[in-house]
Amino acid sequence: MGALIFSNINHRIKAYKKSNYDVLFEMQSNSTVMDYAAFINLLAQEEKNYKLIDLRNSMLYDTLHLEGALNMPFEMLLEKENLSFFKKNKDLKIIYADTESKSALVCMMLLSSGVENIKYLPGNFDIIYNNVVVKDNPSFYTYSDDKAKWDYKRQMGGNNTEKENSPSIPQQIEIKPTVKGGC
Amino acid sequence: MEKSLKNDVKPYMNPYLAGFLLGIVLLITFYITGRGLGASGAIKSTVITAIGKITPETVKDNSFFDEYFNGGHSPMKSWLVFEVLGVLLGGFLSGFLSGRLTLKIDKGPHIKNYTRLIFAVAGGLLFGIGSQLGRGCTSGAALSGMAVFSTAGFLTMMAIFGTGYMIAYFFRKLWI
Amino acid sequence: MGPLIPQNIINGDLNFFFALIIGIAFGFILEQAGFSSSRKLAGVFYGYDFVVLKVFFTAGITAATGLFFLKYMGWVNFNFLYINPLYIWSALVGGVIMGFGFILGGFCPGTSLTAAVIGKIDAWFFIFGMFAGIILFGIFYPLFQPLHMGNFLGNPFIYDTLGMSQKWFLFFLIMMAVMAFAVTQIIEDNSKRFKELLYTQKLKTTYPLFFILILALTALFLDENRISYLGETDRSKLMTQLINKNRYLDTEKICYNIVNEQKDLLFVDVRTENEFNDFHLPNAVNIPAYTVLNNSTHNNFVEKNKKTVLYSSGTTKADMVWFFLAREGAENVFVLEGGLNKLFDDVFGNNNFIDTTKMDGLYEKRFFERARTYLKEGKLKKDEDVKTVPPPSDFDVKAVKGGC
Repeated sequence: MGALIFSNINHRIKAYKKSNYDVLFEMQSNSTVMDYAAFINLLAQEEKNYKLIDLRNSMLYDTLHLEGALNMPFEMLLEKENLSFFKKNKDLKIIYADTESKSALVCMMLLSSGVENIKYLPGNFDIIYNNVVVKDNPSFYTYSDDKAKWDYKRQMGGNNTEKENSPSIPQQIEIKPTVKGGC
Repeated sequence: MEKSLKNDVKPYMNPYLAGFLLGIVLLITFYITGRGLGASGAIKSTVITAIGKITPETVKDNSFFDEYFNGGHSPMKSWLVFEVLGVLLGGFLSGFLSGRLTLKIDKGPHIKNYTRLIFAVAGGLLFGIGSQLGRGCTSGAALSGMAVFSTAGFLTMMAIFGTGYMIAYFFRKLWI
Repeated sequence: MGPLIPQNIINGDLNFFFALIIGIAFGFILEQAGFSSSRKLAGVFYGYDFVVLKVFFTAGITAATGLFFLKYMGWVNFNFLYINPLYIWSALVGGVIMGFGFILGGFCPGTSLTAAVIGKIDAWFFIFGMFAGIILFGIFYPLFQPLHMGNFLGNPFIYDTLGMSQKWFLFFLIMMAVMAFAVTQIIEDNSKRFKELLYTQKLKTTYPLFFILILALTALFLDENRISYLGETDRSKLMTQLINKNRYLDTEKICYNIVNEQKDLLFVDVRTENEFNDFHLPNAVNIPAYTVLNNSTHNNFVEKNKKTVLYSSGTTKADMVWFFLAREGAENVFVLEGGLNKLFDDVFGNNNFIDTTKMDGLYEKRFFERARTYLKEGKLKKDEDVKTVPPPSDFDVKAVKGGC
């Protein structure tokens, strides 16, 4: 029994600190996304009680980055100093990268590692820069790379492709799994 | 020192051993089914089924009886019903093996049988209502709740035993 | 790993079978401990027999310690356990009423069953009372409902409510139990009434208690924030996968696959149901992003002979779903880079950048034209020349392994 525990500990010293399910809940609640409107307000604040982190490589960072942002190439995320920076810092931490999915994934990895109070900026660096810094652009306030750019349905002439082989999958999002219990 | 009232009755099990075994059973229950033990839920299922069959119209809008109308299957097909069947079997087996199968009324020495029985009904009635409000009884809420560290479990447990201790004196004639 | 049935690791139909077996064990142990006697049960309130406290507390700390360690080792997922919901006034009022019930009736539901079945007549009357109580509660439920359903505070854990860590609470709980055992033993030894009842065996062995105590002490040294389940991908391995882009498939590969009706890819659309119904890739399956960890998804999702390709309007959502699956250990899950946006850009957008003077360019243009037709019509026209463009050279055909 002791050996089991020990081998388990050794094998998983750098384990996760948050379950997959709990990370999913956080992402679903959308509290991890910082939309541009909120970001602009934050930038306008006097008190800088947040940290901006640029996840791109140092070359891109040196060329141009958001004011006040720290550079941390995302490949180095799990390095000891970087991870402890995220964990020890209790302020709001805002990350951005050269693609939106990269920011989202890094955010998820950090959440899984037990980091709290973290958000990511949607869109890639160019879009952020052009619509927040260069010019405050309201039409981009709720921007996301993952919004449809085409009207797919119309483009396809309203013809729906075959629906064969689609197993019926429940559409509703299950809230925390409820096991029936009690007396 | 061991004293027994009858020669062929086996003594009870060491309570710590019994507790340990019960804890293991509870642990296994959670590991396999994700839920803890219980008892009053089975009685609820029986009540729902019976009343649902007898007077469905009067209880159609009563959400307590929802399970009868919305379940799609009989409320008797529930985990607790099967568990309670097991409890009856297991209890009987234990009583049989230990020579404790006898018709009897347990009571304090200073009251009559009928007094005990009346209070038994009263106690059952209160437990019936209380277990529904408390969403469990000592096994469902308190014991299983303790195993999963739930606040509700501990709270209900403290309410049950706290109340018991506070009023015990006033009903002492029943037992001592 | 556990709990087994809620995560469909063993068949849900076995649940009732287990209920029966568990019940038998439960009933047997209760009766063996003497819980089939109301006088013994009531003893805990009058100081002449503390069997209730000893059995109950021991069982509670055994199970709690066990679950703590199972959780630590990743063998049980607390997200799938039943954690009692807290309707605070209902719980308190119910508890008080049950307290009265215990003193008056001398039983609780579980013990009354074991007593009834061995012939205790007072237990029969108690059970009759319970039926009456529940019937009353049910009939008058509209009156009880506000109390019963009010003040819902979620499913909190006691250590969170008290603001302490789980391992310290466990330790504290066990200390309390041990002290209670010691105190009650002294009271029992001095009590006259105890001698009237059937005796329990002499308490020679309390080995299980020491075992639990040692476990609790060990627990204090563990990092309980560790939440890793068996089978989950190692964190640094997951990071490596995140960094390399092996999971990305591009438009060409997808179109090639669709147009040539190769059925070896399973397309999974992670957008919402409405978006899916407006348009989806041929033979795609809809799994809205945040349902990916649902049990029902786990069962329907994995097809052994296919690679799974996640797609969304862009890349983000699909990548997110990939992360959840990759962390769980799923292999052969791919992501359509750029999503439908890029697919449509390539197929329907301006292809004028393709240099049609070269053979490669010509092939490419015809390829996209065919893709367009296929996507629109659902198939290629009958008299269409079905000679296919050779596949992109870097299309990997790795062996398929298991899924989630």
